[in-house]
Amino acid sequence: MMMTCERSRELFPEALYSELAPGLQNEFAAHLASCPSCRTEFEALQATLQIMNQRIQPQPNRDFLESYWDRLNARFPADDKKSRPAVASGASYPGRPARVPAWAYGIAAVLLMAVGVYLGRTYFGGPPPGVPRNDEHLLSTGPTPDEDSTSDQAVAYLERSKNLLIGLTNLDEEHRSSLDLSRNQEVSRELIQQANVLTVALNRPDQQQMRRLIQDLEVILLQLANIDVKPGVPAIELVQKGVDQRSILLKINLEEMRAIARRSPPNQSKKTNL
Amino acid sequence: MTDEQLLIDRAQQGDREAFRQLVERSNVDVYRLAYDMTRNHHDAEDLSQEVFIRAYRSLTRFRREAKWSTWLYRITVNLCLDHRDKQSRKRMEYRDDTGYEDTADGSAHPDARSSRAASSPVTSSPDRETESVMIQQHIEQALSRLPVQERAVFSLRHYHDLPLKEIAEMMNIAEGTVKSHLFRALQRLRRELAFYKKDIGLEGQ
Repeated sequence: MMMTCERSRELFPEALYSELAPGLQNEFAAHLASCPSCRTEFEALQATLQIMNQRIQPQPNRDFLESYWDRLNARFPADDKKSRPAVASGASYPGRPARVPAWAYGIAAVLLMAVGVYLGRTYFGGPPPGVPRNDEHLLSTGPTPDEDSTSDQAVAYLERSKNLLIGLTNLDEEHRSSLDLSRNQEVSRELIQQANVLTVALNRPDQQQMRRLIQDLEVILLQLANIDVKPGVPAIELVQKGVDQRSILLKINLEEMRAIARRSPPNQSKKTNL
Repeated sequence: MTDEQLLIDRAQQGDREAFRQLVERSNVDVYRLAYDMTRNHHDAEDLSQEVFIRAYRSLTRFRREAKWSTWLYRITVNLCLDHRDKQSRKRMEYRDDTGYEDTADGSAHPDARSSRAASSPVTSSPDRETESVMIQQHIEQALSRLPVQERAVFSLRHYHDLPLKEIAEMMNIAEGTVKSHLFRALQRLRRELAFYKKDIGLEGQ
């Protein structure tokens, strides 16, 4: 007995997804071959599924996926963490990088403090102890316009270096792997050239700390400028490693500068002398 | 024992790292199923997290004979249906991503459907250059118009590759009901995609 149209259509879902029992396959095929109506209907549903196959599957938000486990983990194991505000996971800030390594904040803080100390030393501080007496004229007369210009250039140099390094260290996970360092390397090379001029121009005794800071920065910038990006090795990791190592020197320099600033007599400020 | 089973074993013994790996293997699939059921990205994100919270709490009750993904899908479907019920109770209507008004049970508002049908350019094929974009739009609209049960069955079978029998067990309904849902879903999709009538055999009907 031939399969009825009703029975044939009942089997459509299984037949469309290749789940038809082996014993029914021949019978079903025979019915379609002899029934134009069922065959047309079946082919139309097959075509519908072909269209549905073209669907681009929904994708969760990238930030959401990146913080998925952190958000989930924050809710384990106790229910009392349920009320933890979303701020704790960073989920409320879609534009914020998912994770900024702690050392990046360290570098940023050190550089900002270094700029601050330098400005303090330049405009409010006195000479470091042990400066020979024959340098008194520099304090009593104040810097020449050229010296002022050198100090301004040094501050601008620090600012530009800081921006470059913070820009690199604040990269999120996704951009880190696809980073194109060429522009950063170009800026590094410009800064290195500028550093060569500045370290010669910073010849006053009270500018020596700044000079050493620029020399330390120069090492980091040289490292960045000369990085040979190898396939499969994320370039940023090489930069980070270099910055990590050199940040120790920056911190040492900073501590030295702060100590010098503390020892400087307050009445020797440049403003007073001017 | 498969890698997944090893991870489940470790997770059941309290290994959080093993559970993290299990989560990362399946969170996108869970999200997609939740999205197909809710048609809302934010709800899907929230519900997908809730799925893993529930899974973690019930981990010791997970039995080897079930598939990990099927178990997660079961939790997902239940949570999404609960969510739908809560929304219904609040009598809140919301709009889906395409901007068409949709009732909480996922079925299209009759007026919205008729007005859309009237405005659809069913007499001409889409321009080739924009066809892929239009297909995506039409597919999402067609899915949005399925009742939530039919949409769940279709999504599980078509996009998550679950056999009909497993879907029936998972949703705790008869296999015949699953087949009926799927058949009706396919017929609706065929009608909704009448725009491509030449491809799906509606030309001349």
